[in-house]
Amino acid sequence: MVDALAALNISKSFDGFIALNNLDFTLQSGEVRALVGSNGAGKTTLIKILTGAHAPSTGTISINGKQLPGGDPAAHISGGISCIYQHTSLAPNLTVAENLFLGNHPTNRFGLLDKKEMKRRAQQLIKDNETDVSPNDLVADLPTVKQKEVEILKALAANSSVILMDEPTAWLSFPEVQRLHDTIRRLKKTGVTIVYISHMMDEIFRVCDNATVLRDGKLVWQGSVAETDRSSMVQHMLGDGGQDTSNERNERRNEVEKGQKTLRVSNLSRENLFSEANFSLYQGEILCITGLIGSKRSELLQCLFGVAQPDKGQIFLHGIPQKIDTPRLAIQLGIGLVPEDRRMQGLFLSHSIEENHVAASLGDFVNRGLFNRKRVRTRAQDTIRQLNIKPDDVKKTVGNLSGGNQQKVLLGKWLETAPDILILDEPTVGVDVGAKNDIYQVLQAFKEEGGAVLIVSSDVEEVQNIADRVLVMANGKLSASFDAQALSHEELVAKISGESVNEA
Amino acid sequence: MAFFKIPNLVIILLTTVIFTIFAFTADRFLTLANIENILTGYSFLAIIAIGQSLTIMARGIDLSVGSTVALAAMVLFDATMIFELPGVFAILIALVAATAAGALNGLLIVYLRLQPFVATLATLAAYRGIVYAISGRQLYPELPTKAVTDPWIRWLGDFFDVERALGLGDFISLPWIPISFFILLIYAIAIGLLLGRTRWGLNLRTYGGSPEAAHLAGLKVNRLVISVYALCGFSAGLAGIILVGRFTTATEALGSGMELTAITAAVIGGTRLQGGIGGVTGPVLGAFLLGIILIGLTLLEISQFYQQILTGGILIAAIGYDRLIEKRKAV
Repeated sequence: MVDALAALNISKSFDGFIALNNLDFTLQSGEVRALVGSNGAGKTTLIKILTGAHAPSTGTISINGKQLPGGDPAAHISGGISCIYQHTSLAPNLTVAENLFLGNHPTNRFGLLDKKEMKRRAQQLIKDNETDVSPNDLVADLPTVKQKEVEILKALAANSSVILMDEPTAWLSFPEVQRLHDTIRRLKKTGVTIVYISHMMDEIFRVCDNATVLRDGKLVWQGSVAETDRSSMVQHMLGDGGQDTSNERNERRNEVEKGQKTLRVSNLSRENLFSEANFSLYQGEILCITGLIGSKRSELLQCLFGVAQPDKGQIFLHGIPQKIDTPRLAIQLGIGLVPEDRRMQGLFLSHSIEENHVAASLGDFVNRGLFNRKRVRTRAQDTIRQLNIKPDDVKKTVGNLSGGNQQKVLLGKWLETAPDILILDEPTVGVDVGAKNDIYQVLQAFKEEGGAVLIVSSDVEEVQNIADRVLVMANGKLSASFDAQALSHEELVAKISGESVNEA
Repeated sequence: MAFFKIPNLVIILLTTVIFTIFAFTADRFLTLANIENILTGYSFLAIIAIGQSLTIMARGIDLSVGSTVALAAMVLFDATMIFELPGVFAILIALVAATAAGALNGLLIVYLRLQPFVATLATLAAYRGIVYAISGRQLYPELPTKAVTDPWIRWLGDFFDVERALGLGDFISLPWIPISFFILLIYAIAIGLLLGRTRWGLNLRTYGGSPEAAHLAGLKVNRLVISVYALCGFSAGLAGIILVGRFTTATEALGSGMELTAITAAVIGGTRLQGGIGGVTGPVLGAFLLGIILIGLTLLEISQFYQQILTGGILIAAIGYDRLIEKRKAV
């Protein structure tokens, strides 16, 4: 039997960075395959190669035995691969019928659009797939789940035999997820092959036949979901870690809970994102919030830093309730936030290290209205030395540094504001091992001087390595805190994947 | 086309109300001569506004239309006065020049990845410079005082006597309709068909609604954007040759500031600045609404300067109204 989709020997590198390494990805007709992996594992690259957005460096892609050119979106669509992206790829200002045939609208013999035919075909497709929309509905007026269904219809309209779904449920409520899964099961019966990309373990075990796990651009596990469980799946995703729990670190941690409460969060909620978040952060500790991607941890951090406003609940700093409504106020109150996306949210890429370094604390470098460049330089040089930033030249443009060094510049910028509380969102994504250790050391030093550190991290190894206490967030709900050291790697993984750990 | 209905309804009502107010307050407003004035003075503007609304639908803008008007006019002037080409050819060359100017805007935006605002601000200056450089009126001292005589070109600025054509001259008195108004009608119908009934039009609306969606659907986005700006240039060129027909000459400063009026007409006609939504009837109605207001104010003897303030005010009001609707939708 010919494979519905066969992507063989796929490799892809960007500027020497290997995103995918000699990957084989084959699917049978009517199969629902989960594609999982943590950030940077290569899922996105694989999707882009399958849809033709990127050309692979090596390897071939064929659909039902017919080879596709690679790197040509239009050819991949007509070849039978469609993708439903996390964010909608419909034009909101067009009707359902107009969207269904994007790029391939029926025309009459004068070359004019045949609107009647378009509507008739749309109607037929909607009827065949028992979808509850009208061809004349404006897409902007449809709820998200119906938009997803229209995207699926659009894939079917293009006669796709393989449909990729990238986090299709990210914006859906629970009943809507059910509906989408019913649709997937119906498609499966008609022989459509589906690649289901998701961080939601529940969903994968509910709707998928098989799973492929990627890590660091390589296939690490592949098999039937019936023959595995969540913990081992997450274990495959995250890799082996947490084995090197050294005694030295254990000793260093015993100060926990002796320091003063600097931050207390009480019943913090934001509609549709997270609810009833309660936790405290003490001086001289590192508290990690871990969980799967999409568990709304970043959204929680945004409320602490005044980027977004909670609907309910209170934030106490040193016991005093505060309404933090702007980042400016958060900084004044002694909070620093190292955001998740350093390139978009954290750094001025076209500016130098020294300019980035003082960006959050410009006021400290102004004397009688004049900017003290000399002091800026000295401070930036100090930080370069302290954080071991390479190259050690304050004039270097940040955009040209490696990921690890960019992250250090960003960290240095926030340390310069001398915060009481340092919040970091996925501080070591895309950071090499050496830089990782440098960052951990700086955080340890900050903590030992009485600072409070709150880290959101999906990296179990990292959490076990640096956290004094751990909170797990799942679907917008926080667990109670527990001592990171009291848990084994497996137990922590099990908590993250949403299974209750057995008492034994 | 459900979404065309509402903005057009508003603007039709608004036009009617304002027309009625002026009819009662301004003495010579409801005269044949004045109706002719409005039609002559704003048909060409409606043509530019149609082109402008295409670029706005493609999430862009063309600030260079005023200079492109002058460029087409000057090329036509030179072709007929210096090179003494027959009118049809001269007109054709002028339109090609304007279309090329528009296409160049598109190329700058697509291949140099310039913001439409920046690219067309630069060409606004550059095209105006070309107009001065090639101006026959500067190169040949006798030309400024000479009028264009070519019948083809003169015809563009001519009028059509409806009464005589209908044989009703003895019974009723109807306004003479400028030829430019008929050109506008034909052009509006053509662009309307292009927008509503061809893949090109649907692709343009897709791109305006979501460039991402257009790209992922495998549409040839670059070509689309360039063609939109080329068509906008063509529209400005059409307006330019009409103006030569009307004034029987071309001046270097022709059309300066016209981009503002064209953008205002497009926006009050319901073209959404965020792209994707717009049409042909909107900008045409917008242009005439603007015409009625400005000419009405002139008849009330309100100074030119106040009229400019008002044009700016109307643009802000139209955008504000657009935002208001957006906001209400979002809630």
